[in-house]
Amino acid sequence: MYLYSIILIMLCDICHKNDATISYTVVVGEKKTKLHLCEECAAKKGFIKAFSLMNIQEFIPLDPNEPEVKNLICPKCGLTYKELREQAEFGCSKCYKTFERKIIPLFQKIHGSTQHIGKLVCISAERDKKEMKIFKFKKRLDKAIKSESYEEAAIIRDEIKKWETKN
Amino acid sequence: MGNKKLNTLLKNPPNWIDGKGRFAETILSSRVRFARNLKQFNFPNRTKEDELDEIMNFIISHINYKCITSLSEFSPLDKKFLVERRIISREFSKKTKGRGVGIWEGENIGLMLNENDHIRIHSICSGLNLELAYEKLNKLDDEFSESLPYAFSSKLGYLTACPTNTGTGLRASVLVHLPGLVHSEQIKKILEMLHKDGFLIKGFYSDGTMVEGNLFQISNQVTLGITEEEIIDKLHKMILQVIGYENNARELLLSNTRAQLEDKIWRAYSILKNARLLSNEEFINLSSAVRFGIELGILKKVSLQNLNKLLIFTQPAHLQESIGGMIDSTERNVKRALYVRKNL
Repeated sequence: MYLYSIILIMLCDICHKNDATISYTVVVGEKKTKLHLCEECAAKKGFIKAFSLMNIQEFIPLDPNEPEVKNLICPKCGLTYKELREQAEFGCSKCYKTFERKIIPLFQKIHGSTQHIGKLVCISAERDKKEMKIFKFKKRLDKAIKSESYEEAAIIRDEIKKWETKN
Repeated sequence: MGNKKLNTLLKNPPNWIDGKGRFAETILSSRVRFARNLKQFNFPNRTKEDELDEIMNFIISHINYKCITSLSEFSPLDKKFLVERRIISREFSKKTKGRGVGIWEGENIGLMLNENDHIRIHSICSGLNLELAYEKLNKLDDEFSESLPYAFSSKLGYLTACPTNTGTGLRASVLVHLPGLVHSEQIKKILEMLHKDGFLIKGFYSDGTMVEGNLFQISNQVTLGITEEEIIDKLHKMILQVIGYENNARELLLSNTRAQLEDKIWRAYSILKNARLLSNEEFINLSSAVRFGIELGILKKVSLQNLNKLLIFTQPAHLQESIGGMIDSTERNVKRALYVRKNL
């Protein structure tokens, strides 16, 4: 029993950079060796198929032959698609629009969603609020139908209608 | 000589570690933060230093909170002190120009300007109290958003530099002491469970390989496609579950190895009470045993509040600021041992 500290995260035995998340016992002849590997190196060694949530480059496809990719540069901050892949960070709010088509799968992978349903900006346009309300109601409607609460579903449907006809 | 603005911080421990609040023995603090950007400016990673100043001035002139200090006013030691205090991030402390720091409400509220995003605001409460921390943060954010043009889209929500923050821009985290799960070697199972459910967990004092002091930080990973309230609620429920597992582990340890456990706790207390040299690491680990002793009702003479205070004031930059300059590690270990003997 060790009372004070534990080894929680070990560094990968191969690259010595990433956290080791997988342990393997390799048997060579009579000698047993325990290997602690990161997912990347484990995949390279053929142990598993690599899947790392934060490996953003994987989710932003880059096909250099695709002419559109070469021309993708944010008009506001000048960030290129290549740079976005390398640094995995946006340069300005406009980047979101510039690279929109390419990054939607990324958000799906990271968050499992591509639609914000949280807080709205106080001064945001009424239109945004309306869209958001409708979206939230639709989500509640789905839930209500799934749980067979039909009375509640009817009320929500009326609400959606009310919002859709609002100008 | 440290910045005068740090004098109050040097005299008093932060409010968020006052040992009050729900499960305060096990849960040191609940923290929430928002990442926000302004739509007309490039994000800090694509902004030149002089333009960073422009962004900072724009923000300061548009909000009602005037006590914002430029990071360049702080010495390297001051900045380490602010990192130890959880007011600024380690990354941020390496920067100099065009960055700002705000500290309000006895350190319950903090602000970083031009960190990874234009604005990072956080709110911390003692114990398990994510709701209150969020309520305060949300109020401040509402105030800011009335006068600042946030980068926001109805589809992706708050637009942030890193795609892992996009959406709500909300990261909620809880600092929790889990000696029972560590000693019973169940912690790995808990880590796996948390990962599977979309939470991040890391050692609070960790060099990347070892976790010291059995202190863990558990936070949400997903920020998009979920409401702020859901994030808070999910994390809250998950923490209650983790505490349940921790308590079970403790009961088992007590019934199987009570004598060994009591021995370790009393030995840890005696070392802290008598040592003449104490490294930071050793203190963190021994203080975990003492905390465990308080939690189990074994060490009745040590107050939680006192122990928490020690955890803050024995950190390297804190010790050095208190004597007004840099000292080497041996000297720090002497000072730390002395401070602990006097205050435990």
